[in-house]
Order: sequence, then C-alpha cells, then structure tokens
Amino acid sequence: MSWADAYLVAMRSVARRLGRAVLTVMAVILAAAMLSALLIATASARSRVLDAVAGGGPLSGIQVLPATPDIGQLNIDSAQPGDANPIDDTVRDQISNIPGVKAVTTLSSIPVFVVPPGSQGASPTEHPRAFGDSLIGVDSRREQQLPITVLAGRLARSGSLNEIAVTEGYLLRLGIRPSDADSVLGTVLEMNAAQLAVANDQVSILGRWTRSTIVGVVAAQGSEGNIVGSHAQVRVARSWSDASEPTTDPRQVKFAASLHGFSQYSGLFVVTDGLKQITAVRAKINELGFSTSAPETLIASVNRYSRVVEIVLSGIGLIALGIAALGITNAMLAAVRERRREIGVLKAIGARDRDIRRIFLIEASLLGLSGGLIGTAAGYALARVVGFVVNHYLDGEGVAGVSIDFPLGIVVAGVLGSTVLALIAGTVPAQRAARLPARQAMGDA
Amino acid sequence: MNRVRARRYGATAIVVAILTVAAVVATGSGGGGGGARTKTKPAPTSGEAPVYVTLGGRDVSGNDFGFSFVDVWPQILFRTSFPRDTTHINLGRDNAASAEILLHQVDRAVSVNPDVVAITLFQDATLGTSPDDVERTLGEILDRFGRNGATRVFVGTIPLDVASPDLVVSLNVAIGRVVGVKGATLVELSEVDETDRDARSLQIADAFAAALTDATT
Repeated sequence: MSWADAYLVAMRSVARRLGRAVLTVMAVILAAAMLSALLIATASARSRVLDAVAGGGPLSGIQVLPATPDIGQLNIDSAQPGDANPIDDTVRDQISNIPGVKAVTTLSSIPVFVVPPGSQGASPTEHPRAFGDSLIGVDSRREQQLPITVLAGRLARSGSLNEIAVTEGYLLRLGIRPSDADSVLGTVLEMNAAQLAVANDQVSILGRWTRSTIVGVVAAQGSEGNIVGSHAQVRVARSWSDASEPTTDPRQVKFAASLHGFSQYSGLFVVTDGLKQITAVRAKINELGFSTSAPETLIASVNRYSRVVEIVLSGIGLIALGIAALGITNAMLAAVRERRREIGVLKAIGARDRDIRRIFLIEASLLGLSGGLIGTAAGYALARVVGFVVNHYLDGEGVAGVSIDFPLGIVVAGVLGSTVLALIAGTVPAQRAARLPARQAMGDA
Repeated sequence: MNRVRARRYGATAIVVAILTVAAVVATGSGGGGGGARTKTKPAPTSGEAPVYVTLGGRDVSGNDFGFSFVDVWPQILFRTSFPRDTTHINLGRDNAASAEILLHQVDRAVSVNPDVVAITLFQDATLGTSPDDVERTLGEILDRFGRNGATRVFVGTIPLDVASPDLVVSLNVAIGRVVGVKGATLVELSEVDETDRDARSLQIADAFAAALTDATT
C-alpha cells in the first residue's frame, strides 16, 4: 500500500467519524491555543519589561557621565559619579574604539527657563507656571541607539532650532495626564537661556528667548531634563550662556557654574555588541576615567525570572497537550475496536502490518496537525486580544503599550509539537491495529 | 533697411530699460536711507531666523512689575508680533539709563546682528538725566546700529507719570528729535498709565506692535 493510499484511507476514516474527530481535534486546539497564548504573552511581557528597564533604548546600552568613576561602585548598575571629567570628541572616539562597542551617541544639555503655553500671556496676577529645567540635545537620526521611548509624536528633527519633545515629567509638572500626551503636541513653549552680566558690582541675567513647537512626548532613561531638542539648539544656547561674565556674588556663583559648560557633551550612550559585552566595555570606560551606568544586573534578573515564568507556563500548556494526547489515544483505540472488520478486509486483500500501522499513524498525525495549526492561530489571536485589553489599560495610565509580535518559533514549535505528540499518542493504537490477525478481525466482525 | 534695424534696436533698448528699472524696484536697491533705520531690509535674509533685541532698564528686564520677566512688554511683543522662529535677546538691566545702555548693552546687541531693536529710556527720567545728555547718548546708540544698515530701531518715549511731567516732556522732545535725525522709529508711550502696572506692559507692547506694523507695511 502506497503512502497516498494510506493517506486516502485515513482521511476517509476521519470523515466517516467526523463528530469524534472534531471533538478530538478540539482538545488539541484548546491545549495548543493555551500553550501558544501563554508563551506569546510571556515573550511580549518580557520584551516590554526589558524595554522599560533599558528606557526604550538598546538593552546593551551604557550611559557615560562626564565624571570620574567611584571605585567602590564600579559593578553597581547606577554608580554614583565622582569628580567632574569632561567628555569631548576625543573621548567619544576613544570609547568608540573599545572592542565590543557597536555605537556611541552623544548627549548635550544646558539649563533653561521654560514658559509653558498655559502661562504665556496669563494675567500677571496669576502665578505663572514657568520653571527652570534642562534642555537635552540628542541626534534624532540615531533614535534607535538612544535610551528614549517616543510615547507620542516624534523627536525634534536633527539640526532643528524650533522643535522639541518633552518628557512625562513635563506633563506631570503641568498637571497633564500621561494619557493626554497628544494634547501638548503642536503647542509652543518659550525657553530662555541665561547669560550673566556684571556691571557696577551688580549681576544681571540677560535672556536669550526662543519659541519651540512640541512635536513629541518621550520617556527618557536617566535624563536630567524634561525638554529634549537637537544638539544645534543646545549649541546656540550654550554659546550665549558661555559668554557669561565671572562673578563673586555668592547668590549667583552656583548658577554661573551651571551656565559654563565644562564638558562638550553632557554624556554618551554606548551600545555594545550584546549584553555579554557590557561588563567588559564598562570596565574599559571606567579605566579611561569616566563614570558609567548600565542596567545589566537588572536585565539579567528580568531574563532569569521571565525564563522561570516561561518554564512554569510551558509546563501547564504541556500538561494540557498531554491530556489532549490521551484523548487522541482513547479515540484511536476506539477506532481500532470499531474498524476490526475493515482491518481484516485490508489484511485479506494483501495489506501488511506496516500498512495498517501507517494508516493509523497518518490519522493520528492529521488530528494533531490540524489541532496544532488551528490551536496556535487561536492562541496568537487570543494573545492579541489580551494585548489589546492590556494596552487599553496601559494607555489609560499613560504608559507605553505592549507590542504583540508574531513569534515564528513559538508557532512552528506549537504546530510541530502537537503533530509529534499526536503521533506518539497514536503509536499504541496503530501498533494494536497492525498486530490484529486478519482471521480474528474478520471473525470478530 | 537701416530704419528697420534702428527701430529694432530702439525697441530692444526700451525693453532693457524697463526690465532694469523693474529689477531695481523689485530688489529695493534704488533707495539710500541713512541713519539707524534702513528702508531696504526690514526682514532678515532668507534662511536666517529673525533676531529681536530689547534694551533698557527695569521695564525691560522685568524687575519692577511685581511679577516675573515672563510678562514684561518685550516678551509680550516677542510673543505676539514676531514669527515663531525669532530669537529674542533681552539685554535690559535694572537701573539702566541711556549712558549704561551705551556702555553695557549696545556692544552685545550689535554683536548678534539684530533685525529689530526696541529701546526704552524710562530710567533717565527716574534718575533725572538732562535732555541734552539723553539726546547725545541716544544719538551715539542709534549711530552704532546704523552702521550695519540692516537693523530697524524703535525708541519709546517716556510715560508722563514716570517722573515730573516737565522733565519727561523735555526728555521726550529730545528723544523725538534725535530719533527723527537718525532715522529710527519713535513709539509714543507718554500716555501709558504708569499707575496701572498690570496693564502697563500690555499698553507698551501694543504701542510697539503698532509701530512695528506701520514700519513693515
């Protein structure tokens, strides 16, 4: 008997007992759906948690500060910086050349006075909600390599002097719910970079005012400011503030020091080739004399715990699949009993034991394959529905949502696993059918 | 044949002359305004963001209003009358009269190549500077801005209730005279109500805005 004949006989048998076949497949569908939905949801949650830990940037990212490292805290994720140590293009190039470093992006910053839209032109009797903050300059062309998640809109275009993004901290300061982040897009805020001028022993603050349109809302990891613009914005503002005149006025000394940028860059963000390279690269950067921070310990912990969750959930799903496999065995054994006469006839006309075994194994694998396919698809759909509900909740809380990806590995494993498990489940009934003597089969019938 | 050719040359010459005049008018190169106010370049060159500078005393820096410098007239004017990409440099300092403006503010202002400069001299009335001194100092200030030929300067008069009316009137006469001579734009502020501090900033900003509109249309 050829494979095609065996396949036709198996298909005909399934069609003849459609009700039982559907119930058997349903068990496999439920088990496969549960297993795949759990694994997809776990993978997505893990990805989201790691994304949050990395601040939206690459997981293998290291922040470098313009300060010497505190020797006692080198292995701590967020080490306290030591004395000031400027970062310039030379330092950036040195770090870029460290083995294991994939990319280095620069960050710049300057203190600014911010006047949000609500307080512009407000009645002088009302207390304006203007506040001091920092303008952070980034290169939006390297967004993927920055520890920034865009929650709404986008980052300021590279080189733009009149676009900015704001952080959730800005929204909170203005009493705007994170879920209403879109409401600030397109609004205009005023920013003032200060310059200290000294005349007749009197210190005056001279303002350089600009207006910028808010084009995005972002979550920025470890950012010292709530306004994120371009390097060009920081550069022109700094050229104004750097012209400040020295003062000995004790009330202004600290402010004057903050205006004079001692470092070309306020920090670097270093992306390594992988998580395993972080420790070695951090050590090299520390050797160069700069303080670093990286969530490597936290990421390792998240990975470890998410693996445990995956194993537990996989176990639950596999138990369900095992139960479904027992259902297949039971259904196939019943089929063997019911089809003794058919088996006897097949043997009487020349079918060998292995042909009979083949028919039953094909039947079992058909049940497993169809159950696996439908069940995995249903599991993915279920994960999407759960993701939608979760995102609706997170959106209400103003937190970035979970992205449900299509995990090809889980889908392939779900379909193949169901098929293989069904094959195993069908082995005993197929063996029993194959060993059934033709005469006994005919006689019993 | 020669007559036909001569007619053709004549027609060509007329067309060339008309095009030349049109080009001169279009590019504005036919005028030659002197002094601080240029008639040829009210707006910044294309591609460059406008720069607007304010010079003066407390009314400019914002320390005598009882509220922050967010609501001083230079900032209101910046907010309401300039394109969004404008940069506003506020050089106002407490107690700065015309002499200190010349000494400490003008160099900084000139260095940023401003397109528009707005000046008030209220502190001269408070300090009792003589009209002659104000006229001479303001003349020097306006001369400094006149040198680059691309800066439009607006000078406000002094509200009558800032100091004794006689002094303010004589100072305003001196200011008006030098502004006229140097080709700057005079902004009439003498009727601004000094006693209503909340509204004063808005009144001054409105007056400067109106002058700005008149000058650019």
